[in-house]
Amino acid sequence: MANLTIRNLSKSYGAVRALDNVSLTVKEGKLAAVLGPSGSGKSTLVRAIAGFVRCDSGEILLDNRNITHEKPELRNTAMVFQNYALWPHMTIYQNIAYGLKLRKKSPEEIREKVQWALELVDLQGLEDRYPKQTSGGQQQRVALARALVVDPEILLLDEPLSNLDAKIRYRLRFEIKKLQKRLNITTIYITHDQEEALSIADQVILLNNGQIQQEDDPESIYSSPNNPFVAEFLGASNVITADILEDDQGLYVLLGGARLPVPRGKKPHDKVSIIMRADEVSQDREALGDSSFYTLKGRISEQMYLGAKRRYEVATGEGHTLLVDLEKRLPTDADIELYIHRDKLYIY
Amino acid sequence: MQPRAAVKRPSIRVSDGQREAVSGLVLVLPALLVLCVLYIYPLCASIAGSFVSDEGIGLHNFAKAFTLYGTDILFTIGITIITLVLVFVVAVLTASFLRFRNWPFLNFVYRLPLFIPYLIAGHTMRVFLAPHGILNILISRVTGLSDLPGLAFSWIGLVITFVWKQFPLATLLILGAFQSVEDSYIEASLNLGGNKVRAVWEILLPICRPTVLVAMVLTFVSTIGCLTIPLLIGPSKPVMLPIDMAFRINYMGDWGVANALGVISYLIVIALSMYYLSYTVKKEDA
Amino acid sequence: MQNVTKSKWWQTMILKTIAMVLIGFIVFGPLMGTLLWSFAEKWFWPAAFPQELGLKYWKIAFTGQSPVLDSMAISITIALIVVVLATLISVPAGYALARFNLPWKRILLVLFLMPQAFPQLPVFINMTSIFYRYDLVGTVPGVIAVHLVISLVYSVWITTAAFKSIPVTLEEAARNLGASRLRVFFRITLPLATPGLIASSIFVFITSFDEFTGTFFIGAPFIQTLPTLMYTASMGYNMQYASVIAILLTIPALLFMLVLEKFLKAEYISGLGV
Repeated sequence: MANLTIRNLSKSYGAVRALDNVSLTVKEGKLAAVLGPSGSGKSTLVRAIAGFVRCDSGEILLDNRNITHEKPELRNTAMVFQNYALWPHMTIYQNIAYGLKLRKKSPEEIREKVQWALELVDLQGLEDRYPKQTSGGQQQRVALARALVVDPEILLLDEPLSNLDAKIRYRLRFEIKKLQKRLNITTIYITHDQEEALSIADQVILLNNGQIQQEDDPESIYSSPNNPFVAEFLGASNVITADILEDDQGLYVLLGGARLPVPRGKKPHDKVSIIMRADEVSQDREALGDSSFYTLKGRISEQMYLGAKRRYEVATGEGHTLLVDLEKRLPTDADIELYIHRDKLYIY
Repeated sequence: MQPRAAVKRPSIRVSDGQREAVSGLVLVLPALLVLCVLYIYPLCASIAGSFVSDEGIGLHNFAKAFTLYGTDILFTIGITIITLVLVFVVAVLTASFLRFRNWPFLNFVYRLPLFIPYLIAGHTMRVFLAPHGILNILISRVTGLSDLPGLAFSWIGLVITFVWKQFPLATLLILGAFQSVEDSYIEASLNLGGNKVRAVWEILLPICRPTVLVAMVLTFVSTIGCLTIPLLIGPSKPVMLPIDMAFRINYMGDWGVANALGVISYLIVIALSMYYLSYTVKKEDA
Repeated sequence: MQNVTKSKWWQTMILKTIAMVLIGFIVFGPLMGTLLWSFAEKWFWPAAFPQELGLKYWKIAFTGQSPVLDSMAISITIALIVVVLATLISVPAGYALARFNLPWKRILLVLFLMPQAFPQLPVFINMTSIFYRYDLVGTVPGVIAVHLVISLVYSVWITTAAFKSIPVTLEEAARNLGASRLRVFFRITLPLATPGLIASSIFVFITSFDEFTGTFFIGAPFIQTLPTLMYTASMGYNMQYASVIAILLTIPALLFMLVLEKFLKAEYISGLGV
């Protein structure tokens, strides 16, 4: 178990900057989710920590040990690969025991530790099967056991659940979290699924184009995104580009007839992005209490049934379209008035 | 006009699967026919012929083959096994190197001997390894030694030529298999504390075992059955079995013993193939 | 820091150069001897280089004072006929093996492999005695027959792999639009399989062009292909002459090595792995 520190890590493939001056710290025993779209550099980051990618510059430290130039086999990281990489010619038992054999443990110790690992991931009785004789979820857990059995200082999970069905994915997510807490192991968890990241991480790192967009705990990153990319990636359904207007009271933008403030440093006729989640809008003024809010007006142009709620497309007078989730059933073409907290509407 | 129904065809019910099998066989038939007439028939004739001699039907030819050519049989097996081991080592080393590191020069150059026919390989090594050949000229220039022994016409020259000619095919096959193993399988081993040598030995080779075995069987068969290379560069005594066969035919007109020697070489190959088959069967059971 | 990386760079460069020279010598060295001999008019031990170089033997080979041109014509004619025959019988066979639900498909494929995966010489010997009965020994058709059977494995296997690598959906799409099975084959499948058919033809051509042992038994002494001519020259220690023919025999194979990469797709090779 160790603290992971990364300082100014950069890696280019030709003209593509896979990692661009990335710095971050993960405290001992924490689970950090590295989130980002494909090609954002998240895989490069985890492969750099494991030692499979040689970086152009920067440092990687486990506690005070600088492992930047260490060979992969000497780093004592343990990785779970996206395709699990279970060796097809070895049984489950042999797969898990491999790392211990490399560490020249005694046969008794190997047997004991493998048993411990099998129990840990709840796979007792499967040790003599070959990987292809087990299900995807079981293979995933074997990969996890193989990584954990060697007492790594840090656990690296590279999209560990992306090859599984939604249902199993959901369940395994929490099993991984529980295990991680129980073993108190520093963990880097790569994923492109924002819900997965938010639900299990202590710390979310959002990457795009090789750069860290934001690093925060799940609630903060969700509730106060740094920029439109973060907001949109974390599931904001409305990203509206609007022109800045000016009158004698100063600069403003209009949305649904509401006058919104403009961030500092903008000039008239610049564009701003207005970001808003579909489910943070309400028709019920009372529910918002006496906190300050905006009132947005528009007309329902389209609707879609989503099960528990309905999604409406609302056209505003300025020609924008808002996506809004409401439980109430409303007719298309109805005029509608919506309320939203002032700090739930982000303007960049 | 006569109603169509009057010419009633016999209606044989044929399932789609059967029809497909039949039309498929019709398409394969020309190739199969060529193979049967030109290959299977002479092959059977060689086996049948091995039991026929002047003394009638029996094992006389085999008895004669073992007494006359016992040493040659052992020599053939020995040369073949040495070749096999060396081809395995060189091919696995080359394939491993190229699996881990992209070196276009080596990747291109190693294949060259693959495209040199056996006959040319024999001739070229005859020139290269002769007592006054290029290799000895170079060695004597560098070291100042003269009167170096020629490697041609010795078992060493024979093995060198076989390995030179045959390692590229083995490398090509093994490298192809190595490359079809995803990086993550190797990385998983390194990640747990292995090294590249162990990754090759414990991960790549076992995963690619079927292809490695195919490469080895092909090497084995083309070594044991090769006439040209032993003819051009082999020692004059003992000799490889194909030379004995050619000698029996061309100088003695003795088809029986030649066929017996042929059957002996089949048996050696079959023994090896059985090992291969038993392995694949075991694997499919698992 | 700069210096360290620079000296390391030098180290790798030196190592790389040494490795290149060594590998180059192992691979090219033997061939160099043959190449030099073909131009050597005088070369006596222990000179590292021929005393006199010249085109004498190349001229002899190409000016009709020798059977080289005749042999080359026979070799090329035989190889081309073998290519045509092999393609004609392998295309239907390969298509059936790739697409039809045939019984014993694996056994059939292994059967075609047998001439390459089993000692050939005893078969050649018995083929000779069978061919004697039909007066095929010492004739061009006899030699074509031997070449055909040993190159069959390449054409059948590579065409099978080529047809297999074409997604069935492409054929189904055309049939879905109303094309007949035959039309689909000629308009869709065959054009898509062309690289594979070219690769197969190349393999068959080289196999036939360079084949020695079978020709030696079936064709000798009346049919002199380039390989049998070279063998006679080499055994007679006619080094220059033999080397000239050796190079003539190697050139097509080397040319094909360069173009083959284009046609022999990776999936064909992986399709060959049993």
